[in-house]
Amino acid sequence: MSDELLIKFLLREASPEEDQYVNKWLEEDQANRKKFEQFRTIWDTSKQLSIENPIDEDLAWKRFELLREQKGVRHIDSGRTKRSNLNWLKVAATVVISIGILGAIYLLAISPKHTYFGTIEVVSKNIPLTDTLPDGTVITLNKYAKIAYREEFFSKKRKVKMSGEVFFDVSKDATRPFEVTANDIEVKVLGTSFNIKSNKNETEVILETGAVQVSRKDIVIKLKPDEKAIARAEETGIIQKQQSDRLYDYYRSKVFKLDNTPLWRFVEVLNEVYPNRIVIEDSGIASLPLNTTFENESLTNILHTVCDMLQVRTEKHGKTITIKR
Amino acid sequence: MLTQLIMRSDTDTLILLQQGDEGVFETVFKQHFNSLHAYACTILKDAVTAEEVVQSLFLKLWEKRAHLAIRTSLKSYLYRATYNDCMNIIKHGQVKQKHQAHMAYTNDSTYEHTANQLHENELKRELQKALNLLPEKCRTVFQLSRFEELKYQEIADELKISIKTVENQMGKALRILRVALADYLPLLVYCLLKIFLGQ
Repeated sequence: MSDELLIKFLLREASPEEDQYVNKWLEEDQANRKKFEQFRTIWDTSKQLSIENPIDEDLAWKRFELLREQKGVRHIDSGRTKRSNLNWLKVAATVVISIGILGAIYLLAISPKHTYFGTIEVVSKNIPLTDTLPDGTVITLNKYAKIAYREEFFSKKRKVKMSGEVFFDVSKDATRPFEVTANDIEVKVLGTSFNIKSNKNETEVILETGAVQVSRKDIVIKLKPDEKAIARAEETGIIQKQQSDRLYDYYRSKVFKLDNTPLWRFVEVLNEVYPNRIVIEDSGIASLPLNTTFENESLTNILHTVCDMLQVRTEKHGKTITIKR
Repeated sequence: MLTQLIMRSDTDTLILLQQGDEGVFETVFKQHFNSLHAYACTILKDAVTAEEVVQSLFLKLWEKRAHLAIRTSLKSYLYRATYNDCMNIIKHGQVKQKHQAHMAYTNDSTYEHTANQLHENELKRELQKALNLLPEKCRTVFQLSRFEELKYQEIADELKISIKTVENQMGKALRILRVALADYLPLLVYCLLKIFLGQ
């Protein structure tokens, strides 16, 4: 029995006569069956080595066009250096005049909108703040967040450094990648929307639409919508997880949408939003699920509704609110 | 429709490519990108590096388009080029660190191991390594059969080789894998037998 025929049989490529022949051979001896099982195990296991998430061809093509463009520019540059038999005086004059004209254009037209030679800073105090960057990207800063935005003229990149929590709705521009740095995490995008929250202990990136690449030193991962990446300061590496709720975007939407959300998670978010300290006294009620939506309501109203829904009550001592049975 | 495209293509496609037809190039790119990326991924085990490889492969193809001299099919040319570029990267050890980090991370995130799973993971890891032992042609045929799930006849057509060659290469591929995994297989077969008998 040749291996070729056995594999053909395994892949259902054999003719009926060949099938019969192999079947007979398998019945003859246990050793034959064992060999066949080994082939089958290899075949079945190897299937699991394929990658599950294919890349979107159109996105890949856009990235390719970008790459090709960059390459093309470099070609023209190297071509230019070759023809150097020009009258130097002419060159010098042209350079001086060009600089003058470019300077005038920059001062009059570009500088109010662009930041090629400077950095734009946006800082929020004790309330969230929404602003639009020169490239059209809309940013929403949660309380006490800060970003510094700059466009690199020569490398054609849009770069942001940030701290605190910021939501980005990046305007599409395949020719100028958008890069965000938070702690030691770098996020690269072409056009998409995502949330980054950073403090000294951890950095968290949640993707809403599109695709982003998150890197930390030499580890690189790609996020899909509704996935998040977490990098903790005391650990190396990046943790990739599903984002199960939309509560994180409260500071932007002013809506709490609870969809089977456990009480403890809602309390965690309320504690981030309001200055009060809310604690759950009884761990038995901490995982009770909530299904409702609060739009722009006061904390008192929210807690009132929660109490009604879960048959619990609250007690207030100064800034601390205790939820109990 | 895709098959039609492939049927129409090759000779025609090659001529149009050489003339620098942007539309044809884009079609070729989109048609092959994902399967080449998947191929590079199974070799490198790193999706980002794999994309870099395939992107720069197409970039080279675009730059050299006027001087293309492809005697085999376009698909087998692209597969061969992907294989060679990936092997170069592995040789230079560029992917090692990332790969290890990825593995470490994957291992961390799976927290519940039964003995079976552990063994299966071990087999998968060894199989991953063993796949890289396959010679280029053998590996391409295996890839098309296993991951793109093409029939023997389709593989023969795509790569412009005889169906007999496909049979031989598949036989060779599984023979090499079986030998490489000899230490890991008996136990697993035992497990499988137990499952069968249990049922």
